[in-house]
Amino acid sequence: MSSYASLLKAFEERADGVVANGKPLVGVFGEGVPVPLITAMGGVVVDVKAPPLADAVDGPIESVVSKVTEPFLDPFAARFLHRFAAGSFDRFAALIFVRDDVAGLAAYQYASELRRQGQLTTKGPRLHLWNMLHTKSTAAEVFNQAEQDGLVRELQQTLGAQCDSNALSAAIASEAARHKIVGELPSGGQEAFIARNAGRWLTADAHNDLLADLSLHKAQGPKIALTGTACDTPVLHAVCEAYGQIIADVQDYGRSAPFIHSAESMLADLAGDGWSLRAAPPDRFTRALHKATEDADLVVVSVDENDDAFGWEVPALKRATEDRGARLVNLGFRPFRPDAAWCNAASALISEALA
Amino acid sequence: MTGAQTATAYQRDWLKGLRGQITEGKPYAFVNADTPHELFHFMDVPMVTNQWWSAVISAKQLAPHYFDQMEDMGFHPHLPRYSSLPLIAQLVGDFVAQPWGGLPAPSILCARSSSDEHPRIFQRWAELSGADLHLLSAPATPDPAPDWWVQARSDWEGLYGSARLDLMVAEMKPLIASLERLTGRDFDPDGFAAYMARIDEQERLLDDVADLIARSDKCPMGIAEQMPNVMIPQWHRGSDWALDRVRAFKTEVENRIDAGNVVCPDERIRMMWIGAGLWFDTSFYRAFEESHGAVFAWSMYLPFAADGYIRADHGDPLRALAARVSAMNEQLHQPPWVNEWLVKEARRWRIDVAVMLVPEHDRFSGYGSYFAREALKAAGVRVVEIHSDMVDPRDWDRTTVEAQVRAVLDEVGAD
Repeated sequence: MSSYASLLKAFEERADGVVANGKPLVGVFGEGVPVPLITAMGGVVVDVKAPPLADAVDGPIESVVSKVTEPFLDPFAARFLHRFAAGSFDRFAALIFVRDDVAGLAAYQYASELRRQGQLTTKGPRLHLWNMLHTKSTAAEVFNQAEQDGLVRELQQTLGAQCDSNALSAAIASEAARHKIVGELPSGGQEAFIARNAGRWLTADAHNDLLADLSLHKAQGPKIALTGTACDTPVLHAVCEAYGQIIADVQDYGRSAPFIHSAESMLADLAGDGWSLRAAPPDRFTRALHKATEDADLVVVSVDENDDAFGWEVPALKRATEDRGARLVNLGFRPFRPDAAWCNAASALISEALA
Repeated sequence: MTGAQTATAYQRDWLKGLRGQITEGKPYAFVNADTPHELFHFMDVPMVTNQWWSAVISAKQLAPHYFDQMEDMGFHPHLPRYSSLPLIAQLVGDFVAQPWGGLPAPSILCARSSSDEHPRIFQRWAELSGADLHLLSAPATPDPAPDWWVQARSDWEGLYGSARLDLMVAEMKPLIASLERLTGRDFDPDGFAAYMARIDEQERLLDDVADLIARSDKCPMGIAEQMPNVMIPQWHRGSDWALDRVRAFKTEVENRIDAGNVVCPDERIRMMWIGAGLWFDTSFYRAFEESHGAVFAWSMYLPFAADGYIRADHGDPLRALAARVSAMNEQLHQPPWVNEWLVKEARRWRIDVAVMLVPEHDRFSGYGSYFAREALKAAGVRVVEIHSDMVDPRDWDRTTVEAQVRAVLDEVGAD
C-alpha cells in the first residue's frame, strides 16, 4: 500500500481503524488536549470527535440517544453520542473532552448523563472533561495547572503509568517533528487535507513515516482562505481546487494544532491557541482570523447551522476583506455531510465571486 | 394595590431614576444576567442587565425589526437571540425608536463565558463603546451532583470545586478594582458581608413563599403575578426595600391562602412554565384558567431564588458569591442538574403539566431540554414542548401553541 493510500485509509476509517497494538487507546474530543502527555504516559491518542466517513451511510442510530438529543445539538456531538451508545468506544481506556470545543461540553455532559441514568448497555471507557481555559492570566494559569494535575491523576489511574519527564520530552519531540513535516505540506488541496488530518488516527512516528516520502502538488491561482466552523472532510478544498490555491484553512480540522515547545511551556502553548473559538478575550481569535486571511483574494465563509460563535465575526471580516479590495463569499450553512447539490451551489458562488 | 403592582410601580420609578442618571451621563454597567450583580449593587454602580433590556425591547414589539436588521448586517439567522437583541439595537442605532431613547455607551461591561456567544457579543459591545470589558471564565463542573440543591446552600465548596471557586474569586478581584476606580470608593469587606447576609435572608423568605404556594390546595398567585414579586426584589436584592417587599409578598400569600383567595377557584390542573419568560406575550400564562381550570403555578424565578442564591458565607462572602455565580445558569440548563431539579420541583408543587419553551436559537438554554422532558414524563408529568424564542415573536403562533396545550389539558381532564 502506498503512503498516501495508508493515510487515506486512516483518514476514512478514523477511530474505527486504529490498531491499538496492545496499548491503551485514549480518545480526544476537540483540539487543545496535551497530546504528548498522554503519549508519554503510554496512551495512544485518537480523535473521537470526527466520525468515520462510513458513519454517514451506516452509522448507528440509538434510540436512547435520539430521545435526548435536541435537533439543534451540534452534529459532531450527536454522531459521537450515537456511536458512544452503540459501543464504538468500548475498547478505549478513556475519552477526554475539551470544554472549550464548541461541541465538547455537550458531548461530555450527555454521555455522562446517559451513563448515570443507566441507559447504556455497556460499561465503556472512563470520561474526563479537560477544562483548560484559553485565557492568558495568572488566575487562568493556576487553574490550568490544576487541570493538568487532574489529567495526570486520571491517566495514572486509567493507564497505570507515571508521568516520566524523559518520556514527555520524547513525545514532545515527536510531535514537533510531526508539526514540521505537516507544515511542509501544501496549505490546500484534498490530498494535503487528508494527509494532514490522517495523523489524528496515527501515532506521530507512524504519521511522520508516511509523510516523509509524500510529494503533493501545490495549486496555483487566486489565493483563497477558508473560514467558519469545524469541517472534518476536504469538501471545501475539493470545491475550491478548480478556482485557485487555498492559502489558509482556519476552520477546526483545517487549522494547525497549537505547537508545544517544551514540557515547561506545554500548558501556556495550549492556552495561547488563538484559534480556539473560546479563546478569551475573543479579539485574540478575531486578530488571528484577520491576519490569516489578509493575503487572500477570496475569503470563503461557511458555518454549521448550530453555530453560536463564528457568525459574530462575519460582518467585520467582510468589511476588512472588502476594504483591502478582496472579496468575501458567504456560502451560508454547511450541512454536516454536504451533498452534490450543496457543493455545486458553493462552486457557483465561488466562481461568481472570483469572476 | 397588590404586591405585584407595588413592586412594578417602584421599579417604574426606580428605572426612571436610573434612566435619568444614565442619560445624564452617569457611568453605568451593562452586564449579563449570570454575573455577580452584587458587586455592582454594593458599589452603587447603576447597572442594566442584557437579558432584561432584551425583554424590554421585546415587550415593545421591536424584536422583529432588529432581527431582520441583524440578518441584513450579515449575521446569520441561527445566532442566539435573547442575549443579542440589545447589541443589534445598539448597532442599528435608531435610538429614538428604542425604549428610553436607547442606551448611551456603558462604562463597564461584564459577562460570563457560560455560553459560546456571550464573550463575542460583549466583545462587540466593547468595540462599540470602548468600555472596560470583564469576562469571567466558565469552566464546567466535571462531576455535577444531580441533587445540587442539597449541597449548594452550605456545602458548596465540594459541589462547585475549589479550583473553579478560586478562579472565580480571582477574576472578581479585578472587577472590584475597576468598580473602585469608577466610583472612587474602596470596597468594604465588612459592609459586603452584611449585604450578602441580607441577601441570604431575602432568599430564605422567598423559599418560604415557594413552600406556601407549592403546598396550597389551590394556587393563590399565578406566575404572571409571582414574577414581579420575585424579579423586582431580586434586582434590588439585599436592599431594605427588597427585604420589606419580600416580607410583604409572604404576608400577602399567607393572607390569600387563609382567605381562600385563589387564582382559579375551579383549579383542576397545575402547570409549570419551563424556560425564561415569554416576554412578548405574558398574557399566555392565564389563557387556560377558564377553559380547563389549568393554572401556571410554577416558573423558575421563585424557587430558584432559594436554590440558586442561598449560599452560607462561612466567613468568606466573596467566595460565597463565587459559589452563587459559578454555575448559576448551568444549573438551569445542563444535565443532570436541570432534569433532576425540575423533577424535584414538579413533585414539590404537584405539577400535572409542564409547558417547556425550547429556544432553538439560544442553544445554551435549549440544551438539556430533552433530558428534562424525559425525566418529567418518567415522573408522571405531561410535557408540552414549544419551539420558540423568549424575545423573538416571529416564530410564535399563539393559536397553534394554545391548541397544543389545550390538547394535552383535554387529555388530563379526561383521565
